[in-house]
Amino acid sequence: MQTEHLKLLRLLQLADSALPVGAAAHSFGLETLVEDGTLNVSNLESFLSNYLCEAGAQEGAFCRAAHHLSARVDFGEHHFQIQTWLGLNRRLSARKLARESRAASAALGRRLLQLACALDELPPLAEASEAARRAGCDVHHCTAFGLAAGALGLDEGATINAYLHQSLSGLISACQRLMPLGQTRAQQILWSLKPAIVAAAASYDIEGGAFNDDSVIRDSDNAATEEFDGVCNEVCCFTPLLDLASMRHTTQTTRLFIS
Amino acid sequence: MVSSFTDVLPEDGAVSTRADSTAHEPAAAQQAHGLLRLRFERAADSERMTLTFCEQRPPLKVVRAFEAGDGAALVHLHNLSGGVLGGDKLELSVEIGEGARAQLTTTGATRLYRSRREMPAAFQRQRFEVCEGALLEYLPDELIPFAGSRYRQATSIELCEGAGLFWWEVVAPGRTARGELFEYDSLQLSLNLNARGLPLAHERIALDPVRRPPQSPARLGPYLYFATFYVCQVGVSGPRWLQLEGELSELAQRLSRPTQTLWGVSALPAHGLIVKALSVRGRDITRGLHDFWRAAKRELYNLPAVPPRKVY
Repeated sequence: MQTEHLKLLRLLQLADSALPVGAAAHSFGLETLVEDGTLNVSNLESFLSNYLCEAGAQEGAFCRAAHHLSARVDFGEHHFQIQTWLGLNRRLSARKLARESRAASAALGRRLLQLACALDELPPLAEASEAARRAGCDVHHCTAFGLAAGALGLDEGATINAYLHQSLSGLISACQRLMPLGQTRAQQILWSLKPAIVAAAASYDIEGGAFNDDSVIRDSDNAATEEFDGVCNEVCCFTPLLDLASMRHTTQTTRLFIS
Repeated sequence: MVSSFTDVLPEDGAVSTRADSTAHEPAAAQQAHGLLRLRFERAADSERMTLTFCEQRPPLKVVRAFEAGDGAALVHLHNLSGGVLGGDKLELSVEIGEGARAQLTTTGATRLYRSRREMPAAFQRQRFEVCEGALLEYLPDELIPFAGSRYRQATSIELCEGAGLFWWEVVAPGRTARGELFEYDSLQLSLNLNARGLPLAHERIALDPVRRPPQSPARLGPYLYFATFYVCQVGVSGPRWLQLEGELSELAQRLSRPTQTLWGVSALPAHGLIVKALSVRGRDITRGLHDFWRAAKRELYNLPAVPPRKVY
């Protein structure tokens, strides 16, 4: 039981908005949407719910695949699959078509991975960080989060939900600085969107729960990795207005946020 | 979860075309399995570009290649059915040989017709390979998904060293003149754009207007049409793309009219950039795409962007 409590506390720290990775400096395009009047207090909750359904599901799928990569590493025959790790991040970069949001995600991911390496001696994390640096490959926030949580032995489902929760919390916090959104209303939105977080986290889960069955994993580790790869290939995301907002943010005259 | 984007089309000769079927045959027999395989090459001793290979099966058809205004080979892609019907499986495979230049366009908008309930979604697979130093300009008219249509499209584009690309796609909300907006059943578009095996842009779009309202501010907001335009040249440096992003962003600002049309430009992870647009009017997007194409082609190739010869 104490071990489980320890895991919970570690997950809470990784998902804490106070974690010094720089998340508070980014709006991921929301600043432009608020500036041009598309996004306001009255449609914020609906916007975020649909955001979770699209971008949340995508981030969740890649977070899950990264978790799987590190959770299966041991000191025996299961080594960290560096090329799969780099490929995962490269494909997520190709999914993030707005340069500023892509760079923001990469900045947060790099810092999170560095911080996690400094907090605990977890071989896959140092190896993942070094491999990405050598290859000149971005490490994204969701993949770094999933990788760190997997290496710490944190529950897969809880990890995805915690990642999406901290991500949503960060966006709402940005909105509090961009629009007349009070603390109580902000908390109400975060509270009422929890089912949407759970739905987004589960939307691209591997069906049948095969990955909780150790005998299956042991016999077909590569097949399992390919299946996670396949899910990341299939996951859909359609947020053109937000993508355009992020692209247009670079030319906005007054900016509170980096992205 | 949405259906897989990686369906396999039947082998050659395994199926009949729609032209073979009659009204009394079961629905499956009325599905078209169209095929178009094209290869363009540059003549060894001249600047002439030729269509050297063309395999076709109705309803897809190419009549012949013309010379485009800038010397490229121009081909019009025909669909003899007048559009894509429910259950159709279509395959377009195009190779642009080393140093060749080709321009592909359609003869009109691609109409996605209402699908019968018992039919699977229509599926089109498109593969483009652009070899070393070659250039592909893929400039089709818009996709119009009719009410009740179900359509999936999987596009893969592979660029070799020095290869260039101007590729756009415009999607309408439906038959707007009839007031038909987002009444299709489903529209799934996937795109893999890779250069030398590395991913530059991967898109997976699943539009299901009933379950996922397209006009949510997280998706299209108040806009109806959406468009994507990829501009690539493998080997051009990252700083050069950032510079071009800045130049084209100025054009985007000039063309944008909030609540009417929005344009945005962003450098890809490498070798290219993307131009995106949202609009309440299709013609604004068409005009703007030609402006971006002209500007980008002049910057990268110092060549004019000559619109394909057809009725606009």
